[in-house]
Amino acid sequence: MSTVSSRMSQPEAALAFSEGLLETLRLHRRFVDGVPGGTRASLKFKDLSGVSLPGRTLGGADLSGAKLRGADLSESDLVEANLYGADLRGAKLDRARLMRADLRGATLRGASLMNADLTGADLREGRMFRSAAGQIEASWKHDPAIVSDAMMIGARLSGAKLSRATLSNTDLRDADLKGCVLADADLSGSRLDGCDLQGADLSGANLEACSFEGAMLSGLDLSRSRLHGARLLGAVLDGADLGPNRDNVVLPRRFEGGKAALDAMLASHGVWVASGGREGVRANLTDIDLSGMDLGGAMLMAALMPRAILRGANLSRARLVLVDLSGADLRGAALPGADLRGCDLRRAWLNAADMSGARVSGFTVSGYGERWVSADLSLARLVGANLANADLDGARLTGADLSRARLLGVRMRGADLTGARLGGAETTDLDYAGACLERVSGLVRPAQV
Amino acid sequence: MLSRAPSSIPAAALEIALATVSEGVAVWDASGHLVAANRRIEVVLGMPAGTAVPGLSLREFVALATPGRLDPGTPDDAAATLHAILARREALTWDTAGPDGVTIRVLVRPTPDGGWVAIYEDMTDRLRSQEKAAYLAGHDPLTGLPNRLRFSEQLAEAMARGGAAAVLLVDLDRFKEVNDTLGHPAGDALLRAVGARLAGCFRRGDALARLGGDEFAAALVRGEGEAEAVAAAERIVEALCRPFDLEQGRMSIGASVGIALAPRDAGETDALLRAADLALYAAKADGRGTYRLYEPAMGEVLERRRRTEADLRRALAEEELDLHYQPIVCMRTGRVDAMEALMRWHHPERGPIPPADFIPVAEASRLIVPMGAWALARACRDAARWPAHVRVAVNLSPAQFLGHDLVADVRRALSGAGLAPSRLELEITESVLMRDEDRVRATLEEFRAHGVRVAMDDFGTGYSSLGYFQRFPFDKVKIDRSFVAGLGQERRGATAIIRAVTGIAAALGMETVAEGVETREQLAILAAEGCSHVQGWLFGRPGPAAQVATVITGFEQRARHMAAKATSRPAAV
Repeated sequence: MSTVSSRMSQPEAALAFSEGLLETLRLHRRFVDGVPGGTRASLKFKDLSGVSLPGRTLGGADLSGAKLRGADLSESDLVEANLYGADLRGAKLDRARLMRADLRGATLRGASLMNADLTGADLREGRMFRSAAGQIEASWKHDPAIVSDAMMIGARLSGAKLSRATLSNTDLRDADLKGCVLADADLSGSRLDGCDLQGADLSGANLEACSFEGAMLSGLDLSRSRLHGARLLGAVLDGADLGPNRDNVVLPRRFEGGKAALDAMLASHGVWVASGGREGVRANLTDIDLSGMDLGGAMLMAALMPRAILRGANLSRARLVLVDLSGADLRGAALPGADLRGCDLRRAWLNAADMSGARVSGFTVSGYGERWVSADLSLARLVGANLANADLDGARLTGADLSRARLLGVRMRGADLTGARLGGAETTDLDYAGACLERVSGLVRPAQV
Repeated sequence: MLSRAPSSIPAAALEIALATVSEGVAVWDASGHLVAANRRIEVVLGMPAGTAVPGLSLREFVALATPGRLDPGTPDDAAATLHAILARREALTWDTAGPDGVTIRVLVRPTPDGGWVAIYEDMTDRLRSQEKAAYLAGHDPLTGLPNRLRFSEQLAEAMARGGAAAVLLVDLDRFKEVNDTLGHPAGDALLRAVGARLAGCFRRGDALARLGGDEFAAALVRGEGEAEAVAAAERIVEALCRPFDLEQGRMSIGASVGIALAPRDAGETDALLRAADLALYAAKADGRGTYRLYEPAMGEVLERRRRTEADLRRALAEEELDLHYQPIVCMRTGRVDAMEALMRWHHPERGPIPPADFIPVAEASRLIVPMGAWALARACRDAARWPAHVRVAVNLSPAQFLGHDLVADVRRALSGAGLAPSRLELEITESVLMRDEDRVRATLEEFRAHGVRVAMDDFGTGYSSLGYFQRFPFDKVKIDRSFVAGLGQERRGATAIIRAVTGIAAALGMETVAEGVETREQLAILAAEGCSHVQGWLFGRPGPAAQVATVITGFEQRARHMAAKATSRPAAV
């Protein structure tokens, strides 16, 4: 038995990284910068396997048919580059900028494209081949782009053209796929958790065994997609048409047993809280659909409610200290005066929720030494939510979307608003003293003159 | 481009000043119309060239910018929002985040005539590098997974929230071999692939991190208990034992997993991680490719091993290690053909430590590499004092073949002692061959090219593939003691196995050594089955180097005596 067998010789990066290549890159850089003497790089059909070119400027370069197997192009500028039919198997393209790049017929199998920007990139089928007359020609009928087994976490693919492309077993978590054309594409076994797929075309797409946790699928026509075994827990499906697929997918289940069962569960949970976990049972409402239910004033401290559907539910003055509500759908829910201290609301959907006067600050947990647990609203969506007079002191709001939220008289002292979006939010008397405001957008504040 | 300029500043001077700044600048009058703007503003806001001309209304100006770059709403919404901001008549700033990823920092300042000046700065690159720095602080750049720091935070917070958590520490088996044999790019590619596979073993919300090197960690933080943790561990072991097809070739590794549960095993993060680490250690000791749940006794076992490792390190430095030698006797001549060197350790306080207690520790800590080199040098020096027909047999560990120049060790040992290479015999076990066949074969062939002999040790205890004899150049095969012990005790097949091995060895021109020979009956059967050499207590236990000469002489005398008896005996009629 051999643990390691060599299938091919190691790419000789040093060989490919010749003086000639460096010169080509230098001249291309001049071309991009508009400096006289620059020329657009033409690396058509060049064998650049294994080259290390991180952070290089290759925007608009011609790399059609180039062999870039295992190449390191992370953080490179490949905006509008021509990568038609390029071999990018196993290449490293993390954080690369591939906006509007032509990737038709490119092979990206096993490539890593974490946080890469492929906005408007073209990954439709296409193939380069040399005709009998020796001409390089394109084929529109053969191999589609292959991106299987790739890592594309957080990649931006909005408006990208991926019809008939193979994206099986690809990690597309948190990718932006808005308006993406995925007709007849193969996405089987891929992870699409947290993806925004609004306006995407998924007709005929193979989405079998895909995971869509927390993905935005609202208004999508999925009736003609293949969805067998897909997990749609925590996905937003308003107005989505699942057609005959409804029976083949994993969806949240509705809370069973009505009010009596709910009261019994709350009572047992109350005992669990009061006894410090020794008696009673901790409430577990993971993936349960409780939309529209009345939980006003309920004692749910430290309950497990990740991805619960609480759309339009009444949770006013509910005691939700330390509750795990990550990824929960609380859109339009009533939470006025709710106690959400130390609550886990990461990636929760709180659009248009009423959180006026809610307590969303930290909570001190004692036991094995004291620990201050802040409320976590990282990446939560609070568009148009009403937070008037709420207390969010010390809350974690990194990447949260507070666009058009009502933040009148809100306390956010010492909160972490890194990367939060506040465009159009009402911020009169918003107290954000000591808050971290790095990369915050839309927060109009006095300029230091 | 300037048609009108604020009264006190000459238009030409203002134009030059504005043309040199890297920000986009616009001057507006009290009625909300553009008075002046520089060229740069068109680039920053993505407006068609030459369109930012004086006289534009705020709404017209906004409509010319790339959609979303100034405001997510329609031009009318944007203009209304801007008018509301400007009505405050104070110096204000904000960042806009457009859908195309471009971030503009806007600074507005009222002018005394009721108008205002707006400055637009493209912050995209600056914020992107800031974002990257923040990302790198909490993530492993190779796999994109959270790093140790981030993982500890996540775990601590989850434990504070509900008091319960399950931690799984994952260590890759044989990762070092991939790195050593195929290089770091292959190792990196493998780690990325491992990260991706691990991510597939967990749900969103579970914490997963790369702690460093080939060590990964995961935590189930939603009240999961032992059953869920074990299921996750099984998923991990299964996922990582499937081969990885990477650009550099097909790689087969595996994983060991240690599990600890809070609050059962520990109440706070560090203690929980330590418990999982102990369980991981136990899983690895169990032969890898498996998982173990933490047990309190694991701490003591590890402590003992750690003490042994520290003592062993000192023992090596202070020459507390010693070699004992056991004779390997030729069946045909009755003389000592070779002496096998066996490592001994006399601890100054704990007395003699059995090899079974310290060799595994040395293997795990890779102390076996310097120990092996020491043993080679010492054995060659000792052998140089023995009669020229007696060889010395030295055992090699799989670790000595990896990431280390074993051939150089052997060469140094031989030249340092002035010993002929043909008098050195290197014994390797099957486990060496199972690692990296091509590389091991090359090393073994190099030994043989130097004249050093190679023996397969403990044959019959592992896979015992006869294919090894075909693929590797062995001079000798040593039949494991477990088969010899079965001889004469009617243990099923023992004699048949000995016969098969001696037959194949003879056909391939290899010698055979039966290990662990303790009785005359075993000896008689081995002689009848054509075994060429024997070793065991029947011929002498391992003894110190000082006794070797006596042992060899003893066998010589006995052999001479037997030969004399044979020649004086009358020929059989």
